[in-house]
Amino acid sequence: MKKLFRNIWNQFLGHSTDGYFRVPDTPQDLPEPENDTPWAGTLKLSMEKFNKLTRKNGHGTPAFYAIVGLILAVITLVEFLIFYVESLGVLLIPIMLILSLMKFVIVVAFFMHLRFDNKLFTYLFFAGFILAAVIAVALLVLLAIKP
Amino acid sequence: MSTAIEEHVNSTGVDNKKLMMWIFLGSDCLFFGSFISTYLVYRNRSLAGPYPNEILDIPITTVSTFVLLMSSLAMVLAVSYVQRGSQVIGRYWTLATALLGLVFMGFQVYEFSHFAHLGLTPRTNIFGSTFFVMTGFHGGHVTFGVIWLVIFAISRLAESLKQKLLIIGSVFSVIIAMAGTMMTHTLDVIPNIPSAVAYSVFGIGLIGTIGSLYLLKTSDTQNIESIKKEEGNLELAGLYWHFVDIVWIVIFTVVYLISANDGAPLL
Repeated sequence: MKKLFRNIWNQFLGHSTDGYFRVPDTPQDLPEPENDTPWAGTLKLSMEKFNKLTRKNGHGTPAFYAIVGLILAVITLVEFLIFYVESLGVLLIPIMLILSLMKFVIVVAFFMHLRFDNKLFTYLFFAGFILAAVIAVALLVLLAIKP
Repeated sequence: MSTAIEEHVNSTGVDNKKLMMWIFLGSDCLFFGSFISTYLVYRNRSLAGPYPNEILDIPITTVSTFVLLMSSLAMVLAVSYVQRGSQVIGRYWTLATALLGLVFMGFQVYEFSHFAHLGLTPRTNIFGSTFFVMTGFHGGHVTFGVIWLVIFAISRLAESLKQKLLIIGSVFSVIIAMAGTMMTHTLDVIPNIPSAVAYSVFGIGLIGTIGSLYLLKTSDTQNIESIKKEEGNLELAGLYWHFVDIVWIVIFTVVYLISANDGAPLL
């Protein structure tokens, strides 16, 4: 009995190498839920594929940029076609804003190289962009309120 | 100390010129953000026509948007080819970008003149004021970008000073003719220039540009320092050009697609 308590105490203090209470101290000891599920590795694999597809580790080739340009052209065509769908009503505005945001992000990420470049540039640019967007929304809200 | 300045060493580990360009673009977001906000705040508040639903032409503006997007593609291809060591191809893509920029400006000149004929000027109503100021400043940015790209490409493509001056002069005369026409017919800020004069200047400029481009002789530079410098400067011009493109993406959505059905305000 004394040995058992001593053993538990030792484990609690982390003296034992394989104790229940032992605090993990290496990356290998940390639990990996993404590898313990039926979808083990799916997220990691998807992220790897996405990173490879979007050329995270280097600049794109001319063919890659041509495909990005084609995607931008197709989105513009979709915007143009959606504009004439009268049944959309008020849904037109959010749909157009989402499509516009997609084009914006694609140009900034790939054509302006923010996807590949130093993160400092991303922070500097989006500081200005978000401030501008917040001011626009604040102005619209303030002037929409009638006394 | 002098070496440190020459090599642009700083604590951030990034190129100073590029850092400054990104800071400028961040601040330019606020510049255009204020115009777009003003347009939205005064949307649907014009007391007299013409209203957006009477004059905005979505098919034509979609084509001009497509042209500007493709100019962005040409720009990124220019940077990509220069980075890969194919400087000559990169310079021609740079010229293609400037040419597409000129086409976009042509669309804008046509649109402004067309609106003026329909009775919409910056003085007509609040829609006219906010619309012309916003798109006019964007057009100004495009013009500056075209001038930058033309000077950049020509200074490296043409070998003799005479040839450089000929091409730059030709392109400038096209730009001046377009700007002059727009200012006379639309903005009414300079005395009326006869159309024949504006079209003659435009035509001479266009013939000069095409003729001098035909005469170009160029070759890849082998000097590594020169390649790095060209690559860096072209990347800066590219960042500016793509920024002009994303501003237009926002304007196209907010002003044209969302507001095109706006009519007289419900009082």
